[in-house]
Amino acid sequence: MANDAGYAIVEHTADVGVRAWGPTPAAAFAAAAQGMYAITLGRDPADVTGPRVARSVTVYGDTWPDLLVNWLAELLFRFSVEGLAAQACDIAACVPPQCSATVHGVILEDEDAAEGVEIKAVTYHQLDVAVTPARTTVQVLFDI
Amino acid sequence: MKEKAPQNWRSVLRRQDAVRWELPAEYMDGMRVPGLIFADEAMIDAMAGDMAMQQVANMATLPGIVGHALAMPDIHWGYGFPIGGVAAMRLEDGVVSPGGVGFDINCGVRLLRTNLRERDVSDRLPEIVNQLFRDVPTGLGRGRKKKRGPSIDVEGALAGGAAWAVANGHGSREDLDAIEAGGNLPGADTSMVSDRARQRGAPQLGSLGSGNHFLEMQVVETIADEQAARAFGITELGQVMVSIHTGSRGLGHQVCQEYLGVMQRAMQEYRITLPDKQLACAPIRSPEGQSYLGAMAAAANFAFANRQAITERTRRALGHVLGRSGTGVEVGVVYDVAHNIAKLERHRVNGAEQTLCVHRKGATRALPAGDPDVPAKYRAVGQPVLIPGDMGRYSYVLVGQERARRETFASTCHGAGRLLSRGAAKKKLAGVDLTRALRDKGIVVRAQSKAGLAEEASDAYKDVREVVNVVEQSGIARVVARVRPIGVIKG
Repeated sequence: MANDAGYAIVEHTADVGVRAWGPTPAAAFAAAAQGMYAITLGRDPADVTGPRVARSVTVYGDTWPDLLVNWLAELLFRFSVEGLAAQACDIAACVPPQCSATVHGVILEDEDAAEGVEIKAVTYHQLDVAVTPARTTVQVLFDI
Repeated sequence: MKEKAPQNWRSVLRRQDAVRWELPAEYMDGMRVPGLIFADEAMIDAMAGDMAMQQVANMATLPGIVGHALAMPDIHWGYGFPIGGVAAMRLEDGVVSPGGVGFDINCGVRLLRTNLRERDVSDRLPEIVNQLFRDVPTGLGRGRKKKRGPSIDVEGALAGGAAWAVANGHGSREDLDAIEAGGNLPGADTSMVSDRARQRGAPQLGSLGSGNHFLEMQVVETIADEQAARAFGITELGQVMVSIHTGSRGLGHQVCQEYLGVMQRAMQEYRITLPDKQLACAPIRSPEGQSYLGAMAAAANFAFANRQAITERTRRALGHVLGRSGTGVEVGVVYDVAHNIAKLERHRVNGAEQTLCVHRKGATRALPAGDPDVPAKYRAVGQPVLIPGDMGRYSYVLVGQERARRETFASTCHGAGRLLSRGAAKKKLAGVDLTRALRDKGIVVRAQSKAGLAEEASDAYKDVREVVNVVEQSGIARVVARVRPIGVIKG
């Protein structure tokens, strides 16, 4: 199972988060993004339809936690202003201070199609990024 | 923050009276002042294992904090500060922390009074709620695209707040007389609000959002203080009121997100070490601190403009359905209070009056009678305090008391607080037709999402009456009236 990537939703009294994992930091970061979209869309992002697009995304952060927060915050921003729902993230580089990716997804034209909860922001609380040569796990909580 | 093992807080706290508990400064290294928690015994016992109390101790470590690190009876865990936390800092050596305001800058409540009685609306309630649901955008994201108006002047909203909204056709000048800070917080520096924050916020002006935000039609159920109620325009039982709970939407969220990063770097530069990264802060007098305060005030103004725009949409929706073209339906503002904010205010500390930066996160300003910052029409009785409960029970109107000025930097509670996580609420209510259950109680509800409705059901919240009882017993605010919901729209 060490090569698998995935995510699980983390329940919290007032808020919600994601635990994600993968064989590499890039895979875990991509899985965390999928989890974030699942929360806000109310379903697997792969099930959302709309015009298909690809977008370049580059973020910076001096530490793993900063890089993860900035990566998810950037995707949240794109979702908020453009309706970009990422279905696959090809992350070419993922090591502090930079994460660069091509995000493939759809533009959510009907805003009512987002049936989950509005994520206000990505927080630092209980933030965790554990990187080993064989596996990366991350945890992040969202303010909703 | 060190996640400590659950503890029995009674063994740590020093009880002062039935509803006051001191968290001694010796509890944790680095605490600069003691904590003061307003709660009854049951609330203290319920906090066993809860990290919210630990967060009060963390708050007390912030540089420049004066008096007590305060916790209101609706205290629960939050990012950095607990929700229900109040902390005041000296300007000369104190800090400002975005975690002491929250991501939803100037999230707040506005209460509207109408000249309608329950009998005027009961037969047409579904129609009215549907009209409100059509006219006031709800739900997550960009505000519903099909309801977006022409592109707005974000700069104007950031600089002018509710006054900008009124000048642009959203309401009347009278509305501005009953808003905290007149709906236009001084010190707003619009140049500190990024283009990205503006992009997130621009389409969302006049929208509720999702989560615990709502617009609720209510009727006055009890009046406890006739004089104050009359001053607030609450004239009789059965009077229809409207409550609006929302904030600065994506604009405020983006401002907070960006400044958390700025503050993380500032902490290193100013060599500030704190027990929790979410308490990230900067000296008030530093460029970073001033920049945040300017951006926060601008975002707060956006929130005031947002609630003002929703007020006008509500006014028109009621007028439209009741067929009087707005002329026969009178809708006025009782008050509008922020419960996520940092403000520069004058308070007395150790006998000397000084300007402090008061952080209120999930806490409401509660000025007593006679205070010059209370609108003239309310000055004889005090500032209205608006405390929403959950959509199945009731909400309260309170009035600030002198003791709040002495003990809490004129602050009180802000709501009920969650009991169940969103997932637990959905699980508990699986298979329950909440819309029908509420209809059976005489409450018409429209929500974007059924799951969202379950997450916000009464079962998910504490009983706000218990919170209000503690506040009243403590003498920091007094009950004026209780209202019950009859119509709810939610995201």
